[in-house]
Amino acid sequence: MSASTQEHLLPELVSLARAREALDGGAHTVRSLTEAALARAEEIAPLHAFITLQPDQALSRADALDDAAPWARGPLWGIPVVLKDNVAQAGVANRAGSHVLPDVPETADAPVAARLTAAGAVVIGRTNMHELAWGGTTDNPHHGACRNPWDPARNSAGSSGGTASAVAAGVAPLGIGTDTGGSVRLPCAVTNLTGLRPTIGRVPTAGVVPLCWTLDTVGPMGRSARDARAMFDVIADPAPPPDPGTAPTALRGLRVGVLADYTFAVLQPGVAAATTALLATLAEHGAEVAEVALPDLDLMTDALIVVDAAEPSAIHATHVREHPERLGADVRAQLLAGFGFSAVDYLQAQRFRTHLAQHLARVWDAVDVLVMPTLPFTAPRVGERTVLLNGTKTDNLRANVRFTALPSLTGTPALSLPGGFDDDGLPIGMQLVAPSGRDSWLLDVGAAIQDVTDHHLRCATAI
Amino acid sequence: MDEETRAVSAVWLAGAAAVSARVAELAYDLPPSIAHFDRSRRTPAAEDAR
Repeated sequence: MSASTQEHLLPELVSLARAREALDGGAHTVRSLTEAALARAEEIAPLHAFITLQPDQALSRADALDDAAPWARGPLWGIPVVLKDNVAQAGVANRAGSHVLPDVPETADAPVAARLTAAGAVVIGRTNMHELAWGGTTDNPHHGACRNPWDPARNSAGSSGGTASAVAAGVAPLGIGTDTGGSVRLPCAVTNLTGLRPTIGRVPTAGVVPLCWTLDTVGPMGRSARDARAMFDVIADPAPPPDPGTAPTALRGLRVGVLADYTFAVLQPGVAAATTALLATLAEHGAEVAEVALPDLDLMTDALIVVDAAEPSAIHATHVREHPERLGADVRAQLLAGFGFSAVDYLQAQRFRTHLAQHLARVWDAVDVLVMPTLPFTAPRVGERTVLLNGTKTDNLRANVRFTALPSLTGTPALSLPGGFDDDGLPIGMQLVAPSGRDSWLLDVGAAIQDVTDHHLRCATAI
Repeated sequence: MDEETRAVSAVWLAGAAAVSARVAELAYDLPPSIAHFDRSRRTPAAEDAR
């Protein structure tokens, strides 16, 4: 299946395979590809995808990589990548899209940044994000509302909205996001990208501004599962020993579980149709699709919010009390509201996570992977704080995590991949969830799905 | 507490109460899932600025 990229996009900046081909074949030097990425980043400035571009560092690094001997080239040699603004880079302030964190340069790279550099990647800039990663719209009060390249009147979700907009707009084939309650998966879903929330602990979070100690992860975002896998292989710790009875990576014989009642209860029509279509495709290619059940799913959002609100309020207690004026109104209100939970509320929410994880462990006896949408709707308009679902206005923050909460609470890996388009031509994301530790396998399942579908090959055309 | 914070807090506390009520019905020995705390992750610059 060949990539059908639009004319205004440079194919080498859309797909990792095309970038490698161009570099290995001599069509591009690392410098010329880096220059092209930087030029495209300037072109899409109206999307507010970036907080800072790093042209001097990137070009100097590109020249060094052009001089490197072939045997010294890493797996991402010469590939332009973007970093979310909460990942430490030596010599650069790490402020997580906020003015409340100190404007002081870091002394060392985060392990994730160091691993990318060691693999030969060229970081071209730091991307916009929801302030402190505490929200899902990337409507950043300091750096502008990040806009979606599929329709700039709409947002790119969040909190890794800047990485999603940059990659979807063809600035770089790959980018780094972070995911606490859905912040890699949601932006990928609304921009037609593929992104992984890894098993908790699989990718080091050192040097990443914390939002929530017991939920935070760092994950790859790219056009396809294969591209995301290439980045994951670089940033992840070595895999733990494989589970006995490793599941197949081919679709034939894959046991697919669907939480039918929960999944189809509250969906926009286009998202429901895409979910049904993916399940039909899987069945057509030999997967065994079965309904499964988990208890208390309607409480997941509430449990996630308790943990996902209490921990940031603890982390940023001094900031919000001493400098509330430096925070945007929404994040300030959320941090203050987080003080309202009692210690018992917090512990009961953490006990709920154990309860859910115990039941999910039994589900893995029956199926290899769960399939559901990543979120129940397509990209909302910039500034909208509610979404219409089944005729009811629902708070965006709550509606966002309806499906992403399950992997976040249970610590399991989850992959968001393109699942089609609604009547307005907006991308729909589908989420696959696997048992803990099966991150690479999950990415391979995503690649197998993308071998028989072509949604991921469509690129944004609005800018 | 301003109006926005009060509104957010009211919804969240109602949710927390629902979770707590359900957990209270579950097994007595159900430990909290807090094994993933990693206090070493604060970035060096933020630490230095304190």
